[in-house]
Amino acid sequence: MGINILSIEKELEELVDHIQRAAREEAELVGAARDVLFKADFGRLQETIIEFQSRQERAPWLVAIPQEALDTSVPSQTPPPEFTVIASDGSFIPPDRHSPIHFFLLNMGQATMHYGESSFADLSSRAKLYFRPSETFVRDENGFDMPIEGSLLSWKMAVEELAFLLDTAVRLPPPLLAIRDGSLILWGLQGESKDIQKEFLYPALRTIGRFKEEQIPIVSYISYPGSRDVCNALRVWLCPEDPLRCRCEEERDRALCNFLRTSVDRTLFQGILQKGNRSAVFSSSSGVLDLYGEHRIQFFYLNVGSEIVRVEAPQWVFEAEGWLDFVQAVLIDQARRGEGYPPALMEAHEQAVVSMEERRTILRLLENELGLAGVSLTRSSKDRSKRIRGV
Amino acid sequence: MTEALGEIIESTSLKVVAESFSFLQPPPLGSLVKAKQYGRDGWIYGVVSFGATVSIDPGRRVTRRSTPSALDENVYREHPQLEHVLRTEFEAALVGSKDADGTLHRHLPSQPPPLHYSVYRCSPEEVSEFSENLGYLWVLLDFHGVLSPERLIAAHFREVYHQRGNDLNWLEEAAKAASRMFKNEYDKLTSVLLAIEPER
Repeated sequence: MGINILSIEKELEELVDHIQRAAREEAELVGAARDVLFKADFGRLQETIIEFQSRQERAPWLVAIPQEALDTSVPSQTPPPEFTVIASDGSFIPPDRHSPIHFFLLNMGQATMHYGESSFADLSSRAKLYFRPSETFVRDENGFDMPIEGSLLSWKMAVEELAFLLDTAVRLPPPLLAIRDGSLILWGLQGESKDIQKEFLYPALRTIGRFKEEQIPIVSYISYPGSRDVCNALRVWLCPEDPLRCRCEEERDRALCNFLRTSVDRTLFQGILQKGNRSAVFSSSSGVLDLYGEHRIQFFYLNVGSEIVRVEAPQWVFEAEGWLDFVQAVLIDQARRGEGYPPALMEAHEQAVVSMEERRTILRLLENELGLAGVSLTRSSKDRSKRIRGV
Repeated sequence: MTEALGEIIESTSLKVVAESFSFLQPPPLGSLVKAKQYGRDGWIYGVVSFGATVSIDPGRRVTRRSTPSALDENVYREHPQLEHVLRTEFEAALVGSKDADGTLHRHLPSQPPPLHYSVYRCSPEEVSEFSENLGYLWVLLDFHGVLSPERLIAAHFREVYHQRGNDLNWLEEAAKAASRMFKNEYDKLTSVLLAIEPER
């Protein structure tokens, strides 16, 4: 039996109408939110946010603390005639539950691109196998060993990526920009025990510290960011008494507060920042940053042409004379060369990626070597059945 | 001193594929090249039968990079990574060999050249020596590559003619050989003869 199309004709019309109305309403709300952004006084907002954050009941969401006027929109300058961009990325082969040997592999990729009269590039990768218990487990506060997998493995990789980036960067002359893919805010470590933080966060911060000593600006580049720190800041502006519970009198204001709860910052900045322009610099309020000390993370949004991206850096990067302009100019130049995405990040990713075929090769190599040494492996029956795939 | 042109990345009884040492510039189509024999002091000869520059990763397509302000060589200056993600390859059809004592053989070598060995340019003297006898042309005629045999043979004639210092006598002999090879294929013969006619 087929569908009687005529029977849903009316609903179809209503659906189109509904979608159009929702889009109109959203456009109105985005417009209202942008108005707030233009009108809000950043000095007062900064004070309100800091006061709000010192209260007992802290917001369960992140609030951006503006460091400049909220409606800031700075055009990009031209990058220096000669400069270098380096980027790193990583990928892993996680521990296999079905394998009798506990190990994981991290593969770091780096791309160095020098632009100018004598341009050149250097692409390379570095793989490391982790198998010793001291490398594959961390001890928690109760003295138990936890295997490095899942989010712990992601943090381990973040630490190694930063270290690889530094190793490459220190060999190069300025002007130089180091870029990491993804956030510099390891917010997931916030709720972890001191021991876990010591294992992953402190090495990352030590590496960031070395970047500072070497005077190398390091930033992270987030494409299609889902963060809403600035939207949340506007909520604090609209309901300063109690941002957690909207008490707006007007229906329109309530709708705006509600909208800001689910909207993302990139939507807000889409219509404000012209191509090549950056937003104001904001300070992140992520709880984990209390552990970052002098390396507190700040960020801005940047219209690279094809999208609004988020650029994060330790505060000393944006505070150093001329570096903020340099970061913006180089990233806009990268986006131009890469049709919207930095080629350095793309090539670093290409270097880091481990294909399925390579995964299989590494596992075979490992099994062969162990076999030659007389160690036979018993894999899980499930895994064996998957390999044989008998019919 | 003979110049190394590329490294053998595929080797069979009929041909070698080499990754070119000079980016974007494979050796001339039809030119005579050589590789060392494995474990012996001899050489294996081949005729360059194809050249190409491609992405090193079959999964990554080459995309447009030009802008109004960056064309041609400036594209490579603007995107220095291209030299690392592209590679230039060439193929050579095997046509003969030379023993350690200097004896020349104009037929398929008994062993393919070793993988990862280099492909070298042949000096004009070597080209003259090898092309003195045209028996190897029948090996080339039988080679099934990307190019049709008559195109490959015509390209080879042009190269050797120049390497031999515009040797018209040799070209005449070569044209006669072509007329024997394509005696039943008038169109193919014409296309060879038109392609090798010396510039006036």
